[in-house]
Amino acid sequence: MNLGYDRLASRLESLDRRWIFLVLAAVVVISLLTGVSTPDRATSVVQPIYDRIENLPAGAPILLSLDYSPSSAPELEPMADALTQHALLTGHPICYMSLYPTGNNMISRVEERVIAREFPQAVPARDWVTLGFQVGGEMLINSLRDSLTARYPTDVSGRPLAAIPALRGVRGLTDFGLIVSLSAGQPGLKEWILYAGDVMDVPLAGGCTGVGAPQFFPYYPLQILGLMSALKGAAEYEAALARGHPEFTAANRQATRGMGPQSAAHVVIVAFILLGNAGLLLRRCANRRSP
Amino acid sequence: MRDVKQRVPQIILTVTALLLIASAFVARPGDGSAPAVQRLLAFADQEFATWFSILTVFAFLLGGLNLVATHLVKIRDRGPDRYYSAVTLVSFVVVLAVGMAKLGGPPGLQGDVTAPGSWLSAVFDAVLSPLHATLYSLLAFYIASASYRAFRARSLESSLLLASALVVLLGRIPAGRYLTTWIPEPVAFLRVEELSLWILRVPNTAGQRALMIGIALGVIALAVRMIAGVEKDPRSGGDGS
Repeated sequence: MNLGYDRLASRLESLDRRWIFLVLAAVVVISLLTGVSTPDRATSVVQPIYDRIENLPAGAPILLSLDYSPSSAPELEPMADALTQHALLTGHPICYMSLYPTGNNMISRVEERVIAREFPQAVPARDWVTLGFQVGGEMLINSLRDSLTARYPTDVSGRPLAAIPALRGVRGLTDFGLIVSLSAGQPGLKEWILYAGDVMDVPLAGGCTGVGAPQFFPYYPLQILGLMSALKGAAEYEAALARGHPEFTAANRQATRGMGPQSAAHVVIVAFILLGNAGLLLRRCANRRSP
Repeated sequence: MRDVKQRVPQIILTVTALLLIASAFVARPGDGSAPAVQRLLAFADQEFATWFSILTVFAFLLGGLNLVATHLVKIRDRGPDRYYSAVTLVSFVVVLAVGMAKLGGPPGLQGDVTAPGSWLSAVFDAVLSPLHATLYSLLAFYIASASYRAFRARSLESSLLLASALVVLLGRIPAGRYLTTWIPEPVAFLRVEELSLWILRVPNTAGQRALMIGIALGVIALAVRMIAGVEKDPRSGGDGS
C-alpha cells in the first residue's frame, strides 16, 4: 500500500515539464480558438484613471507616454488602445511620446489600429499629436517640465508645436489634464513619478506589466492616482469604458478577449501547483504510516 | 600631470552634483524677476538635462561600435558562436543602413524614419516585433514549470508563499472573482479578488518600501562619497584615497 502511495507521490512531485508545456499550450490554444472570456469590472486601483478622464475639463489634453517595446505590447498595448478610445470618445486631444527607442513604432501601431480604423473622423494635430521618442529618459522628463519645445521643437512630422491645435495652451507638463505612462521597465513610470508627478504635482497614472506591478503599488494612491497592471488592468479599464460608453462595443475589447486564454493559463498553473502539493502530502502520509 | 587627471574630473563631478542637488530644492522661477541664484540653478537643471541627453546619444554610438568590435573579434578568432556573431553583425548593418538612408519613408532630415511605409517600419513589424513576442511568450511556459516545482508547502514560510501565490493567481483573473462571490458582503474582504489586492497593497508595499528606502540610503551614501572624492572613480584613474 505504502509502495503505491510512494509511487503516486513520486509521479505527482516530479512530472516531466514537457507535460506542463503541452497542457498549457493545449489549453491556451483551445481558449484562443473558442474565444471564451469572462466580463470583468474595474477595481479601486483602475477606476480612478477612468474617472479622471471622464471629469477632465472639455478639451483638456492627455499625455500618453508609451514606454515599452514589442515584448511587452501584449500587456500594455490594450491599455494604450483603451485610453486612446476613451480620450477620443470624450473629446480630449492625446499627445503621444515615448522614452523607449521603439516608441515611435508602438505609437504608429496604436494610430493604425485604433485611430485610423475606429475614429476615421479624427484629425491629426487637432485630435492627436505624436511627439515620438527622444533619448534621455528621466532627464527628458526633467527638460519637459517647463517647456515641451525645449526637447520637441516639432512633432514627428516636422510641424512646429506652436502650430498644433491639440497643444494649444500647453507649455510644459503641468498643462496636461493627465499624464499616463505605460511602462515596461526603466525608463518608465518610476521616472515619471520621480521627475514629473512628485515635483510638479501633475496628475499622473500608470500602466505596467504583471512582473512590474509590485514595485509600483507603494506609489498608489498618493503619487499615482491609479495603476493598470498587466492585461487584467487593461480588461478592467475596458469594463469601465464599456459601462460608461455603450458605443464602446465588445469588438473593441482586446484585453477582455485576451483574458480568456490568460485565465485558462492561470487555472492550469494553479492545478499543477496543487498536483505537486498533493504529491508532497501523499509522501508525508506514506512516511507516517510506515513503521 | 597625474594629479591634474585626477583632480579635474573630481572638481567637475563635485560642482555638477552640488548644483543639481541644490536645484532640486529650489523652485523654478516663473519670470525674469527671480533672484540670480534661483535662475542659475534653474538654468543648470535645464541645461544639464539637455547635456545628459546629448551624452546618451554618444553612448548609443559607443554601444554600436562596441557591438561591432566584439563580434568582429569573435568571427576573426573562429569561436564556436561565430555564426551567431555574423547574424548579429549583418542584422546590425542592414538595419543601420535602412534607417540612415531613410528608405521608403518621408524624405528629409525632419522626416519620420519610423513612419508607416518606411523600410525601417517594415523591419520592425516583420522581424523585431515577432521575435520579441516569441521570446516573451516562451516565459509563460517556464513560469508554469517553475511554479509547479517551487511552490511546495514544505515549511511555514513556503506555505505562506504558496498561499499568497494561489490567491494572487486566482485574484488576477475574472473567473477567480466568481469562486468567492458567495462570501457575504460584511466579510467581502475575504473574497479572492480583495485578498489579492490586499496582498499587493499591504505586505508587498511594506516589503517594497523597505527595499526602496534601503537602496536609496545606499545611493545617498555612495553619492556623498563620490562628491567628497573618497570613492574610487574609474574615470579619473585615481584611487580616491
